[in-house]
Amino acid sequence: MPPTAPGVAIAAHNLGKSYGVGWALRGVSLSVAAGAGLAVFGGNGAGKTTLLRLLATLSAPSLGTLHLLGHDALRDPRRVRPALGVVGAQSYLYADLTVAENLWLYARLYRVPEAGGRVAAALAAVRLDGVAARRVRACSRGMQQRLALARATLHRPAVLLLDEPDSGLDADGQDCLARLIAAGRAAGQAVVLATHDQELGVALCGHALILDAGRPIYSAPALAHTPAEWRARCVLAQSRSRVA
Amino acid sequence: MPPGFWGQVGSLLAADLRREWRGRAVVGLMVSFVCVTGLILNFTFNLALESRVATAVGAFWTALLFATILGLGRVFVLDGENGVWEGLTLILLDPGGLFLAKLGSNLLFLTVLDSVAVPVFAALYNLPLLHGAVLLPIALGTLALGAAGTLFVPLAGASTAREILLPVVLLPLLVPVLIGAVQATVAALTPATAGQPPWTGLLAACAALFLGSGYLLYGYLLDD
Repeated sequence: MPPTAPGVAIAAHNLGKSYGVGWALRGVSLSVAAGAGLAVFGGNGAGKTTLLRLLATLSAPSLGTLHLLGHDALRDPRRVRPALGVVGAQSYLYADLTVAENLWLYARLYRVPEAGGRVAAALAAVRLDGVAARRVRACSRGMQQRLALARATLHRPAVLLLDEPDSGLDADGQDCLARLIAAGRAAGQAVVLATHDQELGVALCGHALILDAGRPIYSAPALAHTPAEWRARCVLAQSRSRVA
Repeated sequence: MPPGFWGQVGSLLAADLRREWRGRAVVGLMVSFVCVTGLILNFTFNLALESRVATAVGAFWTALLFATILGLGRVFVLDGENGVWEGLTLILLDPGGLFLAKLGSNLLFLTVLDSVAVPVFAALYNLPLLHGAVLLPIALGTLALGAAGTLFVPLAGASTAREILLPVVLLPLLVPVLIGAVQATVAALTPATAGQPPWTGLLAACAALFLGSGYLLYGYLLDD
């Protein structure tokens, strides 16, 4: 029997990560239901990327527990990985393959049914259908980010983990991102979105968490505060850290 | 219809080959290295000695060994570009399948390397390397080098001191392969030697060991 409540896609308890010289992340507990969204705010070095990497099972925590889709993700990470869609600091794309070839490859590696239609739909969703034959190396940073989004959502993962996915995106790209997240959540995807853009986080996620210096310092429903208030809380937390 | 296990392995293999075809970043490097090394060693050694065959065969395998380490290290650097390697740890493919795909592409690169190195060394050192009996130790040695390299390059590659760690980890492990390959090749070139240990058997055992270990243990290397 799954140790987490039904409908809970991500359940983390007291997650921590140490790289040997202090804690990059400590004491993070969170729960994200299927179809729900969690925005993670915080300044540079707050621990957002570390948290996302732990949730993606790309890095093993130094302490704590993590259950994804009811499975112990620390004991058997390979079981849950195919159910994750990850956009990280890197795009995971072959630079010398074309836009379409990359998606075809990942469609096959994730055993996506009806891959032809899904690849075409994914390209259209990020508005890259006009450059399908272009090599990734020749694509701009923003286009690569759009393609990374298409790659991460191609196999319709149950959990979508996005680490600053808006990085490098223009207004049109941000619109694509918003549509993908909204559609994913409507289809039951659990979304964790780490971003510096409080407006985006509040608009796309139901709950928000502020990290600072590797610790969770505030958590509330996203709409409990305006984006400006969330921003002010982040700035205040950073100021306190500097003083401390 | 979604691809099966071998379909996925084939897709990954094809992607690696396509990348190499377009970028020519690995094979060109290995081939250039092995040719230059062969030429330099040819000037260095005194090939008029009685031990000419053993010396030349030793030079051949040493050049292949270092070219392999250089080339497979380069493959890992390419896999690190854009975090491709990390992305591959998330896919719906058994780690053994990932090993087989990477092994397949690496072996094809090494086969191209062999196909250049054999005639180059044959010409430079006046060795009958194109003789049929020599092809078996070359094939087995290449298989062992490729399997060991595919298995251990990610292990060393995870370190920040990758360039130093890779040869330090790999070379001691490849000593039995090098000894077996040199001796089996010399034995094939000088068939008069009787009562020799089964060098070809040692090579085959090394290849089987690295192949089996790679298939079974690759998943542990991928995890943090």
